[in-house]
Amino acid sequence: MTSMSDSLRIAWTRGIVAVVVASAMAAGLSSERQTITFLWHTRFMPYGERRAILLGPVDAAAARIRSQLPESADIALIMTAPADRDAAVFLNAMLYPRRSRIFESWDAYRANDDAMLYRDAHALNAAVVLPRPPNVVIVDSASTGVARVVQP
Amino acid sequence: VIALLLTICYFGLIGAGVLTLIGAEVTPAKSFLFGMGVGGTLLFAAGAAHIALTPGRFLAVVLVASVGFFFRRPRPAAATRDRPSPLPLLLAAVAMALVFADAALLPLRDYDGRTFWTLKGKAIAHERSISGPFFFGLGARNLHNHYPLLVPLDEAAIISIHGGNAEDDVRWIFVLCGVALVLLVVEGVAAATSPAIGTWCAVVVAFLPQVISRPEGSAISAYADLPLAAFIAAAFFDMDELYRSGRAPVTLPFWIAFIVLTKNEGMIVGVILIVTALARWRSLKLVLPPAVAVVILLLWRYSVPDAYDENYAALVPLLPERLHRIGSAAGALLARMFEVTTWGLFWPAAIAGAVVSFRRVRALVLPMVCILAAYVLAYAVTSWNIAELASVSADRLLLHLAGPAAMTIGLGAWTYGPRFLVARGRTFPREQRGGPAAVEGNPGRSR
Repeated sequence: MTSMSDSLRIAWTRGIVAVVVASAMAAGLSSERQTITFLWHTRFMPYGERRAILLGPVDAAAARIRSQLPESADIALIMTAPADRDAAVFLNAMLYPRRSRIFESWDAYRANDDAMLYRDAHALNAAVVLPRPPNVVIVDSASTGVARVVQP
Repeated sequence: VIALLLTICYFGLIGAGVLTLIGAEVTPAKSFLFGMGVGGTLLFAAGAAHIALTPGRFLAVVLVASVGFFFRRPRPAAATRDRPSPLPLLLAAVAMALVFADAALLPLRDYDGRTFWTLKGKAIAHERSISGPFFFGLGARNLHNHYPLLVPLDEAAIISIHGGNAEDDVRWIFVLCGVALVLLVVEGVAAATSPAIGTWCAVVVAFLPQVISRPEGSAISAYADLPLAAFIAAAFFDMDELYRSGRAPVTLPFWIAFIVLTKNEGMIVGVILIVTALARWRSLKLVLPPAVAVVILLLWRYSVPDAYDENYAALVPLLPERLHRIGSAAGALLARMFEVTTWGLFWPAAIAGAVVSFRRVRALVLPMVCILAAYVLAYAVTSWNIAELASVSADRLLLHLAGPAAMTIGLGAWTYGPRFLVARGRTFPREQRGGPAAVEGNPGRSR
């Protein structure tokens, strides 16, 4: 037999646990709503098309550059504006094993001066002196193709 | 599907083999996570010794680990008397099904996971080394060169053996880490309270956006935070067993070693866990695996240059002049805890649970507070704008403690009003509802 206070206590605990579970479920399901909606609307699409929609033109640009430059190519990713930084960082990863370096401008490329990616002035960086990469890719997020191979 | 099966089999076999060899309990979640830890650690040691990391050697790790099966029989999880209702299990399965659907039907689309962690995995698989040209700045632009490599090495194993698109290959590691974290919560909280409480706590964890859907750090991304959170959960649950039963869990030192080798934060988390465990278990066995992990990490770090690594030597002396930032750093972290759209009522419930059952959970709460304090100090000492830094990293840092926080929720519920959560028709005497007797006993598990 349980006393009244025990019953109340059990009911309280049950209620609190239910609220905590419901809050987590509400947060989780609401955060998943966009993904579920996207999956529903693209349910007949092949994976490649969904990928193109989600990853945008940077993915397509990386695929195009991969077909144009061999795996052994040394690439300079030259940004046209500070806003191109993210696209350049993604291309750097997606073009691997092609060796790529990121430059903030043509002038920086000519000076063989790598872009600073982080504002943290305390980052440690070992000095690495490399020749300028012979293959140039212009990164311009504002343009349709995002990135294109050009002659240096 | 092949990458998924490969990920399950590769890490599952390594983990189950080694857990069997050391006489530990073998469960699917522990096997997978232990496999990730042991596999990554062995490869880390091999890489630090400049042994080429070929696909054959990745497979050799599985064969070596499987030796355990020839010497012992796997020790299954202890049977429980009380079966949880199917409803929470079903709900947790729905959450995990959403993660699987995302991983199967959509590409990886996070930032750090793709540009940094997976790139390291690709570089290791390509160069078959953790001290090749990439780590000397001669490959692609390498970020945070000195970050621990356990997760990239696990990624490299799957990329090398499968050989498909690297980003598609590696993402099952993180999906399965999410599943393993949820299963660990079921096991860990159930062992301390009852299976019903364990499964309901797992439902809460399974639906947290930071576990299933956030683009940075969740199971649909490729950050190392979720593996770290799973290792930390496993270590805390072992710690709870150590304090509850007095038995030294043989896996605890290994979880701490894996924590050290997974992320930079792991070093401080590892030190805090060792200090906590030493109060109950003074043995070389506790310190040896983490010490070996630290040696491997330092040896490797010594062999490769810095590249966009935090300069801790320069940052720590700045602490006295940046003490005024501690308040805003702590405030930023606390504010994220109470961000209902990201965490629901998870953290308020965890804090309430810790208060209600403090006598029972202090061995878990104190290291949790120390870890959070270390994170606050790290925020205060960096040169970043704290609000900006918190917006991109606070939820991931909090994720690290999701497992032990779920444990405090479970113990709070168990201490405050356990009876509705155990099998119907069973009652327990008052002293077993969270008092000293409950610390020693475990009515939810048969003995």
